[in-house]
Amino acid sequence: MKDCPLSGLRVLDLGQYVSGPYCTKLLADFGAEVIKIESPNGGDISRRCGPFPGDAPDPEKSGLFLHLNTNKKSITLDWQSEAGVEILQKLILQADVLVENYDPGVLDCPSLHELNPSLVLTSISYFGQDGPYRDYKGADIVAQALGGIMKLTGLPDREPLKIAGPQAEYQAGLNAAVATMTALYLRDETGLGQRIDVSVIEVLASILEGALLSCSYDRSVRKRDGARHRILHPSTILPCKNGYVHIDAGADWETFARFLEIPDLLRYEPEEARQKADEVDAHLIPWLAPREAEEIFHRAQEWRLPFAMVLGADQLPADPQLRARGFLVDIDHPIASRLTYPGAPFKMSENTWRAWRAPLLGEHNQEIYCSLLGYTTQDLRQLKNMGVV
Amino acid sequence: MTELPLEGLRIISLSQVYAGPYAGKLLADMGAEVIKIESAVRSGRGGRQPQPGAVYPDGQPGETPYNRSAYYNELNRNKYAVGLDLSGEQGREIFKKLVRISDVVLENFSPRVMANFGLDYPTLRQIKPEIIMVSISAYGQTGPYRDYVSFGRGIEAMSGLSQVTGYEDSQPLGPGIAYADATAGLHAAFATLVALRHRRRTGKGQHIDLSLRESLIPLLGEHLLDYSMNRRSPQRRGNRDSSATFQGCYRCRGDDAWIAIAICDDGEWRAFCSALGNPPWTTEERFATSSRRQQNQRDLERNIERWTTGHQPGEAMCILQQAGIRAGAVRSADELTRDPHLWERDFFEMVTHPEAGTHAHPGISWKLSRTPGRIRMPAPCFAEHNDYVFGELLGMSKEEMAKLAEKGVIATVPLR
Repeated sequence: MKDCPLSGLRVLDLGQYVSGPYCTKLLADFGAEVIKIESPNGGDISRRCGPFPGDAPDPEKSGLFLHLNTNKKSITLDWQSEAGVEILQKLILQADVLVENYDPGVLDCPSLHELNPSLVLTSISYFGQDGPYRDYKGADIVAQALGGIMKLTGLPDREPLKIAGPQAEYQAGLNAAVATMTALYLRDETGLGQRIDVSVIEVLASILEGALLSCSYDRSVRKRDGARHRILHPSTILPCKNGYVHIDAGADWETFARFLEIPDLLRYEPEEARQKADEVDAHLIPWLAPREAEEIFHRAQEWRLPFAMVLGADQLPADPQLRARGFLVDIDHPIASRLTYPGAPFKMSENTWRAWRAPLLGEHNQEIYCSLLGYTTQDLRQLKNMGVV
Repeated sequence: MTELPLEGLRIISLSQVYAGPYAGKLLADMGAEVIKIESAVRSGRGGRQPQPGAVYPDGQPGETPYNRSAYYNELNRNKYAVGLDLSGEQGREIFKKLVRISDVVLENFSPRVMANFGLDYPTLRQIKPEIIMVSISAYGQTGPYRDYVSFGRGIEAMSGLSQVTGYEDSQPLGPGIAYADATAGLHAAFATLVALRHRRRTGKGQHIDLSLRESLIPLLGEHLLDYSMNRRSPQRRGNRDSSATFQGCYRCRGDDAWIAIAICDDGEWRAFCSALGNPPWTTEERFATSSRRQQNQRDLERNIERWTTGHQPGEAMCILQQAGIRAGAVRSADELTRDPHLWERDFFEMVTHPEAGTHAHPGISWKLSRTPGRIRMPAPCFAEHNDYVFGELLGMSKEEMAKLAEKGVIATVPLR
């Protein structure tokens, strides 16, 4: 029988919104026991973010929360209260990993680390734990601006554009998961944990596709240019009969021209197609206009041309490839009901990935406080009355 | 305690372009010995002719452009490189010997290639049962699109990302960087570490099947949930998000100069108004509440730009941040390489490459307190580590290597 590769790991999730929770989702989905510590006053802010069914806010029905917190346990704890800190310390003694994305300095990490030197303590913040911008206020769009992504995205004659969705946060969470697993690999050998400092703007500046070193090499500054690739053309998005397609000549200009049956294209050297992109597009647009995206995509693939369809989220559930691979999963939830979620980001031949719903707020209080930490039911009631739990 | 976390791990990388090499970079930065296998015909770094669009030091491709490309050199620091032709039997035998002394094989060919080489997972596993093979492909190793080809940009389209990345009134545009590739590379590094943990516990290796598309869709999960809940597809919203936050990107003083600002609640709105010196429009009724500000977004943005166009982005950011407002200058690559915050945090490292000179490189993506790591060596020149890998690791004699080089099995320079 296959098991989950991260079973046996206990992770405390002090993350909120997207970055911390995506990091711990990756760990939970592969088998770690993730205990999400939520504020008794409404829980993770993503519970208030939606999307909601019928746009009616409900902390147990937020699409963002449900997606980011699969396979986790939830307890409520005001860890900033005196009694709360004590409980947090008890949890830390029994944990392998703590992930947090509060503003720097909110959580007294060094003292927590002293309690449990084998702990891997992963902190995510917009600007990092030190440096002149440390106390700046961030937002996803602010990080995409300062991390260099926006200047490269969007049309040249319009304002720079962010990549849709909280992508800066997602990237930070993903990087934090890689960093956490790296530190765990060393800890399993030496018994020593460490502190990880993930800055959202730095992980974005790390994926600018060579732009930073390019700048140092020849002072050249890359410009944003809409859907067009910076060097190759066409590798762009154009309209077709029923939507849009990604049209791509790949590495073989002649095959591309023969596939389209547009001999005029052979007049261009592949290298000059980029400079004459408007001219090239003028040949392509009339060809695409009467054809449907599916037909264009599959026919081009028969010629081994890397075309693609521009799909919306509404088109993914019926997608034959995703279905054949069983990528999307349906998960039941007592309040939000049965919904379709993204599945595993990769398949492992020896291990499984789990699909269990996100927790209700405080759903595991009894289990964690009483079974794990040894409080009595009466203690728990008292902590609730004090507002600590 | 200066040992790096992944010291002692050996990874063979057959990967090219971005996704696989990015995964290799992350693991190499953390101490793994990553050996790139490149051939004289196709190396992913270009041949003897300068590549169109490639960036070289001072714009000069020089005699060896394949050692001087910024794109390659940024992505492949801390790695080793050998020249080896896998199309013939002898090259494959050498590859198999390398597999025997390695922990991980990382590749991002389309799915049929490794099988055509006779180097698929069932074969490698026979050679070394505990090997971990990480296969990165566009659509995955199975299914009807298995043999379909795509680069990252096609995958951004097929995943739902391009559809929503654009202005409200524009066509879909998609990200301006290789976003799907970077995302796949990060997930692949994570997958490798997960599989290594499993191997440590059970002694077993395995095969990872990572599709660019399936590793990108989880970053768009809330759109899928929205469809599942409400049967609707998300629209392009420019720089706005669906949350109640008022946010956008505004023109500043200077050429193509901009600032991004987000205002999350009434408290931040009041702080914003006072940072601007409370000009009369800030007290207008139509901007008084969050929902009214959303309704009158365009007019409000025009007013905000009246202020931002009077300041340079960095200056406007300082003023607003001092008032507690979420604001960030829209940085170009050039401005990033001069950003005082990044320098103070040692994000950049000066690295000397023997054929490309000394330059500031983006450093390790995150800071580990006990084992921070650094750029230990520049990106390898073509075939730079033939002696180390074939000679020292595999024990070949100089004569053997010379003979193999003569036959073209071992490469020392790109052919064309």
